[in-house]
Amino acid sequence: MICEMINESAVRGRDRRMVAQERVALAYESLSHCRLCPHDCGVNRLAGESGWCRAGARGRVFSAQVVVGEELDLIPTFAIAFSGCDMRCAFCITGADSWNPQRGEVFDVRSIAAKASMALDDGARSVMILGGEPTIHLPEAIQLVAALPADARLVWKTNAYVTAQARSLLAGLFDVWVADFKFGNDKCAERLAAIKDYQQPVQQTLGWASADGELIVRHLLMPGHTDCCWEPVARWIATNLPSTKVSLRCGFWPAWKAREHPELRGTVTPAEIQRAMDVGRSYDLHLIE
Amino acid sequence: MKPKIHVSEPNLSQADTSEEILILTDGRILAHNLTPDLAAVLRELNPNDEPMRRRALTDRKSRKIR
Repeated sequence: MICEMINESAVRGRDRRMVAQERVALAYESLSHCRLCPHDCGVNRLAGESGWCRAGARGRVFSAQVVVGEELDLIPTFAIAFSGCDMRCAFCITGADSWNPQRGEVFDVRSIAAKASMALDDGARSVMILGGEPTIHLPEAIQLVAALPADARLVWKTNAYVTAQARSLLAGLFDVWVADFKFGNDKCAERLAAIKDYQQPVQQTLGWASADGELIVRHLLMPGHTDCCWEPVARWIATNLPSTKVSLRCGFWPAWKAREHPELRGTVTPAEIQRAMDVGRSYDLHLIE
Repeated sequence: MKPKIHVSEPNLSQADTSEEILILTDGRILAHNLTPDLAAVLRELNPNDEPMRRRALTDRKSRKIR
């Protein structure tokens, strides 16, 4: 229903802040029967119910600061991290905050927008909204877009495990999508992130995002997962989105609950990194730093 | 190899920034939430680290980001 109410192509050329402002009410309405992610809980978050992600009606932010560890084309970026997530990656680097939507401080659009604007004035090249998974806090994220400078370069950092409804609410609002493609098969996704139907929604999101604006596909190389995860991801990108920028992240460390999985108890070795780079090059991917 | 991890408790009211680093036994340093200041420190620790050089952008005198 909400998808039908948004004309995605009508966004182009309009003031992004106005478009965002118009969508805030729709985005809040979506929480009354939440289907923002493929868990499809259908709960009324506005009435205090919570679904798989346990997020309520109000988002919280656990980090808001300038960082330079993202892709070179985006940094320095003012990164705003919402707590809570719709996945349960055992190796999550921000597990305590990402698994718990009650972490951090209640989102205050004025305060965060003021900090972001100050960072932009000081030379930040972009503003990145991330999580956890920011999609579960779509109304507030869209509110923030409406409050940020019209010419700011906005980056949506997502795990891509989202629905058509969420994508539709986000259409045209961000200059860059940084979208994870974490697992090359559903088995690894279920074992390491408690997600059963990972591939299809993520691939749909990546295809959609590449048409919506600039897309950077991220893959975090995991120890022991080059053949089962990175290789199929690289192959899929080469086949379906051949010119898309790909960010292969090699800084895995055994954070959060990674130690529950034997192969994730260490870091990625230099030999694994070399082999992963070779795989990327063999598919002629547009690899970026 | 048993990496040592420093875990910080972010509090937006009390601290402006939070970052984490992981130093591996083979000398590699991994960073999470890499801030300009931390990037500058890591660059000084290892001036030959080309990727870090590109991320170390802070002009400490002006506190501005180039």
